[in-house]
Parts: sequence; structure tokens; C-alpha cells
Amino acid sequence: MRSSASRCAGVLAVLAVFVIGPVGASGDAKAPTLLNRGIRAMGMGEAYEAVANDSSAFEYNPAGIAHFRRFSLDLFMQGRATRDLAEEAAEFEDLTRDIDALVGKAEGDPANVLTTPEAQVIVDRLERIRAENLKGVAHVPVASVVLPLPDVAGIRLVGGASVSNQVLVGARMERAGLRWGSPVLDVLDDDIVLQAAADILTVRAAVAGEMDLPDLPLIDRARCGLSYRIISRRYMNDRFAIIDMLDPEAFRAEHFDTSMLDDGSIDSFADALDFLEGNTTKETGFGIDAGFQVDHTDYLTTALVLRNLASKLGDEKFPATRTIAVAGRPLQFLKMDNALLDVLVAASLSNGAGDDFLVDFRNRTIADKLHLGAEATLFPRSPFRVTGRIGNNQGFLTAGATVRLAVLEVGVAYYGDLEADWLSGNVRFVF
Amino acid sequence: MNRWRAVGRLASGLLLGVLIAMPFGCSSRDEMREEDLPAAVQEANRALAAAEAALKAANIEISFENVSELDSLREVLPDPDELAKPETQDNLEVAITEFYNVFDAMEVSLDPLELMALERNVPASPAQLKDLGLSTSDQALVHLYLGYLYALDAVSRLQQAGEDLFQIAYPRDLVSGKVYEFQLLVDIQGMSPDEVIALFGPEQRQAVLDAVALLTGGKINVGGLTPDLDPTVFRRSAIYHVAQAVLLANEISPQLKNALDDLDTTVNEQLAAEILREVESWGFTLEALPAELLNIVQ
Repeated sequence: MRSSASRCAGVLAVLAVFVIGPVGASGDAKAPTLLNRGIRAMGMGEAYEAVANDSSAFEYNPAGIAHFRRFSLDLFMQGRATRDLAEEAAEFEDLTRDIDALVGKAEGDPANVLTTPEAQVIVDRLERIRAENLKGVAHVPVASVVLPLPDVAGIRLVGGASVSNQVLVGARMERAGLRWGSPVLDVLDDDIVLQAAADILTVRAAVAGEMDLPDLPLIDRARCGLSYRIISRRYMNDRFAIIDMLDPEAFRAEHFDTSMLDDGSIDSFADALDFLEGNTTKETGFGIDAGFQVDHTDYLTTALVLRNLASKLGDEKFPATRTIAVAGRPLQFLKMDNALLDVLVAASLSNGAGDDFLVDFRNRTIADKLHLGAEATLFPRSPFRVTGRIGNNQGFLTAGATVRLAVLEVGVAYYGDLEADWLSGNVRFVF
Repeated sequence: MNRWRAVGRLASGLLLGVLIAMPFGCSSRDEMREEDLPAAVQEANRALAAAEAALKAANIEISFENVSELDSLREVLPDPDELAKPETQDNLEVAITEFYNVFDAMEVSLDPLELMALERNVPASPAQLKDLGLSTSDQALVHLYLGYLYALDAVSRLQQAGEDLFQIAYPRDLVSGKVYEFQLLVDIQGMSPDEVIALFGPEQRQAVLDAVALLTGGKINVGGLTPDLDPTVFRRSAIYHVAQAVLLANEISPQLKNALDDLDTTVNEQLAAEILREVESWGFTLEALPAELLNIVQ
């Protein structure tokens, strides 16, 4: 037992030194690498590395899968959209009506179209959209399995795998060109940035070990884990000025390849697939994460995660991040543990944005690297549970709630990050 | 013990609240602010704002949003009497200067001059400079404004100098197609061109020369005078800038180019050529003109 404990402590020490030193696998991925954010983690401000004890551990901390004591199957579907997209979608009918009216005017009197009231409505809308970020992400569906493996040298091993695919579609306007006093002239050369990506298949495999360390001071238990993921995806990033669309033929020819379509239009699902294949770039890649969790007592856990320890995606690397985290259960600390209410608080500090997708965003202040969260669960030991969460993700509010009834869990989250405010929901079956 | 638990609860709650609330407002989403823009773009935006302010001060409210208006300059040209006010002309020239400052800030090169009247006044062409990336639509719009302002400045000079001899005014006959009528106020029937031109004082001759140079870049001769235009303000001509706008519009869309072609035709045929025909009949000699314009006049 003593030698195992020493071994584990030695491994932790070596890894701690590694973390404090520079991380070799830093990268600058311009295209999105899609991270499956969990509803629970989002509600808790992504302060999840020390908390991870469910299938989200594949993403947040592979050491967390060592929490599983028996075979587990987890199926879920999740959607996420920026609040801007949700608001614009709510007024989508108005927009289509306005566009139809504008098209009608343009057909009758193309030279005058920019001064019509219909154009003004669209310009006002574009001005609003200029400050927005329209983006949606869907995970359809995601499955993960975890099963205990035979113990090795006193270390309880757990293995797991997950399969997912993910679709992201986004558009935003970027102000460009001279700042004309006239909104119409000002908006003409603004850029529209289109972003679409589809994780056709992401497979993750992870192995984790847990061992009790009663002989070490201030440490009850330690977990470590390693995960490997393979990604195959297609993506498209395009940018064009609004004024480019004044010449629709040239615009289509420059920005979209329709040569694979028989009559130049998408008439069937097969056409849509052909179009996607012809207009997106395929790339494959991999990433390796390592994580540690240490239970110091029954109410205090710390964690360390090295995300994208080694990686590649197409010709680039994932941005590497290092995160230290802590989670605590104040009611246990106060010896007020009970069957009615459980409270969990967590914090983490990440050297990057802590999120692959946000690598291009500035991280100027300590708040940009900080994640804080709290969770309160009613009836924590019963098959029916209601959980509420609040958090602070990089300076932005997050909140969420889930209702669990036996194997079914339904959750929602409001989540702010450096990119946007998001609304998310999921349905999950846990067996 | 209960007391300590209560203290612990209070402390935990306070700590949690402080932790959650502390970072709010400490982060901000990336938004391109004016001070984040490259210095050249900031300077271009400052110059554009100054140009628009000068236009407003001159009571010139035009927006090139309505492309169809441009085929009839009459719709967008102000009253010549308004333009004749010295403060209006000052504002026109401030606007022209600032629009050129936009080009200078963004290092937009102008084609070398083929003509002629302004050649000696124009500083070395900045054609060697690299364009920093002013968008096609922005370039086209600045050219459009410059062409428009050059035309207004020409009208302003003529109206200021005309006194009792000549005037430029809205046409009495709206179906004539003219945008302005440029006419003598004295009866010259039976007078030879030499006699007519003798009616023009030095300031009036200079105004005609300058107006032709501003409109066309061309040169007319009367008594060996040369255009007297401030080279720090004027670099090209109305015709040049409108033609550039048309070229750029063609890069954007054929429909836009067609709309601006109408403006090009109007400036050439109904403004510049009209004035040139008149001044030639009054005894001024056309010395050098853009080839297209010469054909129209002849």
C-alpha cells in the first residue's frame, strides 16, 4: 500500500512540475474545435474540473470517470443557441416578411430600393444584428459507456468511451470600412462572417484509476485519468461584404461551388450532402487530455487538468490549457449533511480560455480565466431530484436547473462566455 | 456548538456570495472600439466625419443611398444662390479637403493626371503608395462625393463672380434636360466674340477658367490666364471623380454601374458640356479637354 501511495504521489509531483512549466502543445486554432459543454457544467460557470463525476468527465476531467462504480450508459441530446439567435429567431417571421417586401420593391424599382421604408427596416435590423452573435450548436445524439475494470496494484480502474457528433452554424456581422453618418452607407461594406462546422464523428476513449491514500497527509483519495479523442469533421468559414450581394450571380460564383448540383439548386437531401461536401473542408485530428482529482476530505476536492496535452487537427494543434480547480461541500464541512439539500461550490482557474472554441478571444484579466459555480440539489439521495445552479464564467453570469426522475433528466442552462450569452437545453437518459 | 455552526453558515454564505459576485463586470466581450482600429482607419474616420460635418454646415443634404436620383442632377443640386455664399464655398472646400484626407489616410492612390489644367498644381502623384484596404464601396462613395462637391464649387465660383454679366440658375424650362442654365444677362446680339469677352472683367474670366478646370480638368484660354486653384485642396476634377466612381461601381455590380453611368452622362453632357458650349460662344477658346467631352461639345 505504501509503495502504491508513493508511486501515485510521485506521478502527481511530476505532473505538477510539468503543469507549472510551459506547456509544449500550444496552438492557435482559427477554426472551431467543438467542445461538448455539459448542462451541469455550464450552469456552474464551467467550474467543473474538480466536480466532474458523470459522463461530462470525458470532456472536463478524465479522472472523473473513476467515480463510476458500475456499468453506466448515458444517452443525451443537447442544443445550444446564443441568446441573440433565440431573439432573432423569435422575430424570424417579421424578418422574412420585411425581406419579401424589399425584394418586391427591388424588382419594381431596383435603383430606388435603398431609400424605401422597407430597406430602412432591414438596415435597422442589420444595425441591431451587427452587435449580435448568431450561433447555434446541436449535439445529436451523444452516447457514453463506462465500466469498471479489474483492479491493478490496489488501483481501482475504470474504462469508458463516448461517441458524439455535433453541428454548429453561426453568423455574425463585423463592422468594416469607413464610419459613414448614413446607416445605409455605413452598413454596405460590413462583413458577414459565416461559420459552419460539423463533427461528423468524435470518439473518445478514457481510462481512469482511483486509489485510497489513507497514509498521506491531507489526502484521502486520488484519481487520475487519461483520455484520447479522435475527431473527424467538416467546416466552412466564409466572409463577405454585404455589398457583395448586390451582384447575386458573382456572389454565388465566388462564395459557393454549385458545380456538383444538376440544375444549380438543392432539390434533395442528396443534393444537400453533395453541396456540403463541395463547400466544406474535411479534416481529422486527435487530442489527449490528462486529469487528476484529489479528495482531501469528504467535503473538499482539488483537481488539475491538462487539456490537449498533445493534439492535432488538420494542420494545426488544439490550444492547450491547464486548469486547477477546487470543489467543496459546505454542508458536509458544517456537518449538516442531510437528505433534503446538498450544496456544492466550485472554482477553477484556467490558463487559456479553458475552452477550445474561445482561443481567439482576449484573456486580459484574471476574471477571464476564472470560473465559479454553486449547485443546490433538493432530495439528493432520491430518484427524484431538482437541482439549481448559478455561476460566473469568465466574468459572465451562468445559471441552470435540472430535474431528474429515475433515468430521465431534463436540464436547461443560461451561460455567458467571452463570445456570447447562450441558452441551452438537454434531455438525458442515464442507465 | 450551534453558535459556531451559525457563524460557519454565515461565513460560507458570505464567501460564496462574494466569490460569485466578485468577477461580474470584470470581463468584457471583444468589441472593436474606435481606439482599437489602426491609426490610419481612425484618421480616415475622423476626416470623413469632418467632411460630413462641413457638408451639413453648408446645408448640403445629399445621400447617395438613392442611386436613381443621380441620373437627374437637378434633383440633388442646391440653389446656386445658396452656393454663392462665401461661407458655403468655404465649407465645400473643407469637405473636399477632408475627403482627400480620407484617401490620404488610407493611402488610396489616384490615377496620374492625363489633363492638364491642374497638372502644375497637383503634388507628386501618390500612385506608388500601397492601398491599405479602403473598400470598393467606400472608395466609390468618396469619389462620388468629391465629384459632386467639385461641381458645386464650380457653380459657386460662377455665381459669385457673375454679378450683372452672367448667372447660373435652375432652368426655366424643366423639360430641357439641363441641370443649370448658364447664361449672360446682357444682350449680345450683333456683338462679335471679342466684343463679348471684353465684357468680362478679370475676376469673371478667372471664375470661368476655374469652373471649367474644376468640372472637367480642362483648360480654356482667355488672355493667357491660367486656373487659380489651391493645389492643397483641388487635385482632380468632377468628371474624373465621377468616372472613378463608375469604374468602382462596376466592380460591385452591373446595376449600380448603370445607375452611375447616368450620373456620368449628366455631369458630362448637361453640366460640363453645357457650360463649355456657352463660354465658347462668348469668345473663350477651348484649349484642352478630355476627349469624350470634346466630342460632346463639338
